[in-house]
Amino acid sequence: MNKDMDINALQAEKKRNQSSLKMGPWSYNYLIKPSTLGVLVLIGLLLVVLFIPPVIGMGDDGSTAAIISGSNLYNLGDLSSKEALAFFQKDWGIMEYFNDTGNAQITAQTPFLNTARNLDRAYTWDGLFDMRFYGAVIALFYLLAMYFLFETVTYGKRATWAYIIVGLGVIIFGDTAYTAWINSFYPQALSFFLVTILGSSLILMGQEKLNDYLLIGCFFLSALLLCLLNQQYALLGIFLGILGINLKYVDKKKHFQRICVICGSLLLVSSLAAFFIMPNELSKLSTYHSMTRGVLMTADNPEQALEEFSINPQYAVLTGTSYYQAISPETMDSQEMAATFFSKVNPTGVVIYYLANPGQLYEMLNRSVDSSFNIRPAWLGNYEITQGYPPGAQTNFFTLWSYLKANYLPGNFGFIIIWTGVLIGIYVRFFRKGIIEKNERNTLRFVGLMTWLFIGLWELYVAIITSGDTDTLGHLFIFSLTFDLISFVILGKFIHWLEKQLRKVDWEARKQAFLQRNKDKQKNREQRGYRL
Amino acid sequence: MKRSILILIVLTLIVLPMSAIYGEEADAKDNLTMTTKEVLLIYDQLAVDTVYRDNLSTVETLLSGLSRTAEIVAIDDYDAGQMSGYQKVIILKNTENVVNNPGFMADCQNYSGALLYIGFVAPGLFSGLDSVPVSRQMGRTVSVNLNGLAGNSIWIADLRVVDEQAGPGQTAIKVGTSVYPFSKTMDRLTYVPTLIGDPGFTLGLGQILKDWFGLAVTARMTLLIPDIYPFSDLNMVIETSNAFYANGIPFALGVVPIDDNMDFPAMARFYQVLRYVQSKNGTIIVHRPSPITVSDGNAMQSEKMYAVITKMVENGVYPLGLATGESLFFDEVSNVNPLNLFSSGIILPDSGITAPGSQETWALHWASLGISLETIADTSSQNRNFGDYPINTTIIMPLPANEAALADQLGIINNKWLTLTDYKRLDNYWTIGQNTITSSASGIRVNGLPVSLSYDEEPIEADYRYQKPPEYSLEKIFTAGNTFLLTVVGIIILLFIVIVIFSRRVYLNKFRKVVSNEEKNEPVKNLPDQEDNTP
Repeated sequence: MNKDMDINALQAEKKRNQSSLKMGPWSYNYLIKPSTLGVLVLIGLLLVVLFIPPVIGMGDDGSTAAIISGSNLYNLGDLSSKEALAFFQKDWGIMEYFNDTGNAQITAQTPFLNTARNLDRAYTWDGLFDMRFYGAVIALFYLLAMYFLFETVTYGKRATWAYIIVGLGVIIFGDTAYTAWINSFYPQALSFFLVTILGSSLILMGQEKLNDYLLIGCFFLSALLLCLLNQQYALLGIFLGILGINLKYVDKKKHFQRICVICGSLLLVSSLAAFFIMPNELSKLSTYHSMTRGVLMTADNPEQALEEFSINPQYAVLTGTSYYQAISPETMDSQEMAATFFSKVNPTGVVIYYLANPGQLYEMLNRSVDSSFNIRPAWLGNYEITQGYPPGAQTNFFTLWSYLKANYLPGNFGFIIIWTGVLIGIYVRFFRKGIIEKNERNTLRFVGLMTWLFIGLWELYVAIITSGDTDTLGHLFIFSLTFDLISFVILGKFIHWLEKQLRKVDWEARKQAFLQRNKDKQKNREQRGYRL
Repeated sequence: MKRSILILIVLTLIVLPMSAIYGEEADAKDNLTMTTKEVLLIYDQLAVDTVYRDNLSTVETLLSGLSRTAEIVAIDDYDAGQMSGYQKVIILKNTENVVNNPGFMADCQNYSGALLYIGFVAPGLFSGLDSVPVSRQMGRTVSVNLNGLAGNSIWIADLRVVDEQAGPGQTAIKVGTSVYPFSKTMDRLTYVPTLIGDPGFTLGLGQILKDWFGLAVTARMTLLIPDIYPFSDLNMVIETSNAFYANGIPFALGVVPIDDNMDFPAMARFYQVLRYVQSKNGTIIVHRPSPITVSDGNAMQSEKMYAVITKMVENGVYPLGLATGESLFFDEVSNVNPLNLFSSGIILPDSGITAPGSQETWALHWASLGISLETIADTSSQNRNFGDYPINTTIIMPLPANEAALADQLGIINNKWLTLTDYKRLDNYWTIGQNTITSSASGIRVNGLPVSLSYDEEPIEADYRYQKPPEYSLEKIFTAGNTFLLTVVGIIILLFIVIVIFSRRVYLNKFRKVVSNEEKNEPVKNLPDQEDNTP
């Protein structure tokens, strides 16, 4: 019965599409499609926020110095390190001579940075790099990711409900808290669109909306780039590689299966290689936070916790402090700190500690979820120093979703567990159906969402291990993003379902019944012989 | 009679407002002199990539070390007539570049106050300077002699000296066998031909500045162990203070203020160690919180400092002075409150503080210039006694890493026969928040009452609760609501159980036959009888 209704609806839609074809040229028709229209609105938003002055971006905490150095860019040093955090810096220097900094690092960001730098050079030759060129390169991929995402929830259809969903998508993912990252050298800018493409290409493959080879290419490319972002992302490649190899069951085409196996194994190997080759990025900053904003902050007795790491228990006074707060940089860099504190903290030790103290891990999960719901860390400013805002000021333009998220969503792990339950409850039947019918393609919708969920939870865990509840490495950002992506897809599903339920109702009959109800009563009364 | 009274009234009417006006003017004048700085320091360039890069910072630090306030301006930013507001002007010329500010050149010709000229001579700027015979020598090894102390030999690529023989007792630059005066004074003009960033030259200029200001006070030397954190090697701190106490060396301990977790047992332990240090004749000095660490600006910094100092005094630790880099004195006094309330302080070496543009400094009442222990070790004196540097100095001795290092450092201090002053004995005073602390030769007084510095160990709370239970709003109402609900639910459950029990009986009774007790007790016995009775 249900199916028949769907088919009827589809046919009706087809007819409508055909009729609109006559109305205008193809391009107009294509542009008016919900997903395309959503992307067009996003282009407008990005133009206003990122490219037309006053330019919005993210302050720089110095963690990306090695990465931009790998693309022969450098910090002009116009701002002090404190100001650099509080204000966005638009202009950076392009090295004119041989790059002898010695700390240059090649990551997945490098090709994007190089492209942006060459674009800048083609446009101006002033030795300055305008961040907006990088923003433009990232924005292109961001828009592609958003198109994919909108396609997954609208099934490429034109209907009122599809416009509503896309509108919600624009509010959530066009939020300035998200888009401001595009104008920054942080890995967040890349992981933003990579994670989005990763999951939505799987879901789209399940819906058979776009070419399989295109989608599988998108999946593997984005997975590879994500794993090469830095060392801590590399381990994700093992999971994604195994998933990639298993994708061969989706289609019976020989070529497709070969691509899946070869690319999946490549992804596995390269992510393992990256894990061992790439420098361990864990800076003092994150090591410090993994203790003070993690282990010590939630410990019943920080002194005992320190003793387990065989660190001087007097360091308990640093409980809850942040890197820039309590100790001067000279002391932080001193031999003494290195020997008595930093050398004794490593991720493995922290993992073992949390395994031994699951209560603390749960507490940290709660705190991390809460702090991840602030998509922008509070200490990074959005404005340029010349715009005259106070240090660390963040923009309020188009931040409805991030405001709601930070202030009204329950930021604790219990909520995430319930939310995961809802997600699995809704989607597991697709998986079950696919397995029973031996139609693996139908399982992909569930698999795509689960990939997001897995990436999100993994990053949440890694964030706690490596930097406590401060998101100095961009892990919590990914968790927050996957939360939004999954919620958005569920929301889309819900709106679609609601629309279907409403369509079943014969509104005209109800209306007539409503209008008739008094007449009927009157008739009854008359029959019974009442007189008013 | 009436007329005379009238005249008197008129006269008073005329005189009164005038006196009032004069009074106001006098007040205004006082305010003006209050805000005017004592010295105008004019420099040409920072000379960043040369050996003269530290010169501006050196002069600024020396002025702060001598408790002088200054206004600092670059020649390019100099406004005509600015000089005339000052009794004393220092000109620092780090480069040979030509001066392009006509207003400045004109003012130099007409200036009548005391003037100190450091560095390269600009021809035609001062007629007196042009006639001074200067010997320019390339690539020389020199040492600075002051008060009978000979500093470390250093190599100077481009040395300019006044081509005269230095008099006995005069601060001098020794080049090979010849001795040249460090400076030459002509009338109102004092000329220092060469200044580079070196402790010997710094102290030499200190002598010149002290004479130039006409200060006659004796210079003191103190000793500071800087950068002590609660998580520093506290055993080493105790060992060091024991060793210094045993050797009769008065010392000061520079404590970095940490305002987080001030009630933790670790902090109590730290205060305990500081009390112990005080009992071993050590003085506590507070470091300026690093401006880089404070993210919320100066206002926050001052609040935190108030909290830290109050807590210290509560715990029997009495900080008497301030240890700070020179950059503090460039900040507005109102911004650095309460740091400016300390009467005395130690100025630590602070490189790279000079920023271009005009600046004004403030000064502590008594200040001392930080020098490294190596400078002392490298300085040779004529007598067995080390003698005095011309200005107040503080030896900065980092906390030794181990006992061998401690023995080494102690050896240097003992071998030099230094005359060290106990920081407590300097007249220190401050009022911060509720506390007023003074210290002098007679000891430390807190709010007027003398305090004992003897050490007595206080127990440290062993079962301190680190995790404070979170506070909820309307907690009372909710707990009351909870207990009410619990009792209601409890009563209902009880009722339910009662009902269940009774209803079971009622239910079972439906099936019970009303029989006599005998029948009930022996139903099996009667059965065959009943069977028999059936037809």
